[in-house]
Amino acid sequence: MRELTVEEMQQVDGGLDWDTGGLAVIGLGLMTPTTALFGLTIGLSMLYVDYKTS
Amino acid sequence: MRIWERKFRLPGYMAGARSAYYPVFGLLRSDSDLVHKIIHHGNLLNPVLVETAEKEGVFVHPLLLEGGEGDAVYRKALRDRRNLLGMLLVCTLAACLSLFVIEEPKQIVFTLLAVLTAAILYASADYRQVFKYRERLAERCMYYGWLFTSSRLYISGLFLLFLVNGLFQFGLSDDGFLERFGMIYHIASSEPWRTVTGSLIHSGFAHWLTNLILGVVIVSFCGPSQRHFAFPVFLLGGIISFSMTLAWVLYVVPSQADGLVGSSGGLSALLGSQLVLMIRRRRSYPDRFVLTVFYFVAVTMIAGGGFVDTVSLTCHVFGLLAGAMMGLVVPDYLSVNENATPEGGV
Repeated sequence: MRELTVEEMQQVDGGLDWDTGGLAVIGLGLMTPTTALFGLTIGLSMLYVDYKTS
Repeated sequence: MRIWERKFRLPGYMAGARSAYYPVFGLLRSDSDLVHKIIHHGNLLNPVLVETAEKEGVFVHPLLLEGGEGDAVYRKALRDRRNLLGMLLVCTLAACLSLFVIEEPKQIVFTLLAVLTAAILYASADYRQVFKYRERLAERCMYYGWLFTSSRLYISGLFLLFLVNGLFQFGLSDDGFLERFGMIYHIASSEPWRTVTGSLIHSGFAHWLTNLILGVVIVSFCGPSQRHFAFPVFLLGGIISFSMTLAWVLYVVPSQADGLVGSSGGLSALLGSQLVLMIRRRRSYPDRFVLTVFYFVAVTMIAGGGFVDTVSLTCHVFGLLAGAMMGLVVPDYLSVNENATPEGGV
């Protein structure tokens, strides 16, 4: 067994970022206007975090 | 007879002002003004049951109230669905226009367009097939009402699982966590336990939070239907999807990345199992509810895989297929004997 060092570990698959995660949350909320507003609030917050951190 | 077709009686209920009951939170509010607000300004997915005017202590989904109250909820539901469709069309138009404004359209705009297209297709098909027929919508709302009373255990379980692995990963561990527990492709063949640990951890807080939100929505309707099988399907589905993805990356299409993490393989398995269960036992579920499950599958595939990377999409597809296989043996808990009355049912 050998463990990878941080330098060797560049990227993992499956990792949703703030942007795609935000869109998934917005998509899930699109069932009624109320849940859509709820999903938009959380989803747009996640997109904002992506904008601020990228 | 289906288990969700019975009205709900709150055990130990003390009569007072007309009440609203939030089963997920275990919250009972005796407040006639609140009941009025729920009937005239509520939405179908607000997880609340309202006491019937005819029988004290018996609670139903607001759309199922008799007389003018149920009519008011139905009219509001139709209006809401039309408003949602209008909102979706405006958002889609804005997203299309943004393609001409942005010089190099980002992947995020295409993902958004794909999600909006799926939402428009779902909302319009559901409106024509279900909302326009009051009896079909009433059947679905009866099912929603039952889900509100039955999903608490599964949602709490998922929260606990995510809380524990989130605390372990983000609170107690150092930077080497992913290397130690993720499914690293080139060493996972000799360390197969990584398919288990990898399918339960996440690449970062955004990944964890998104899967938690997706998970709450998915277990709220898959949990009560699959009962004791829900957790094994989630766990086993995650392991199978990771093992299959490992074989895919090693022998078919290599990945640019070093490893794979995330619980969405298990969540996809829950959806796959639910889809097969609903196809096998169509009569146990509300008419056309399969449309809603298909929509969730589409969102999971598009946002969680389609535009991120092909390996994520592959993992979700394997999860869905693994779940579909398990769905062949998951029993149908929703059809019940006419003479049996479940706890809280009347």
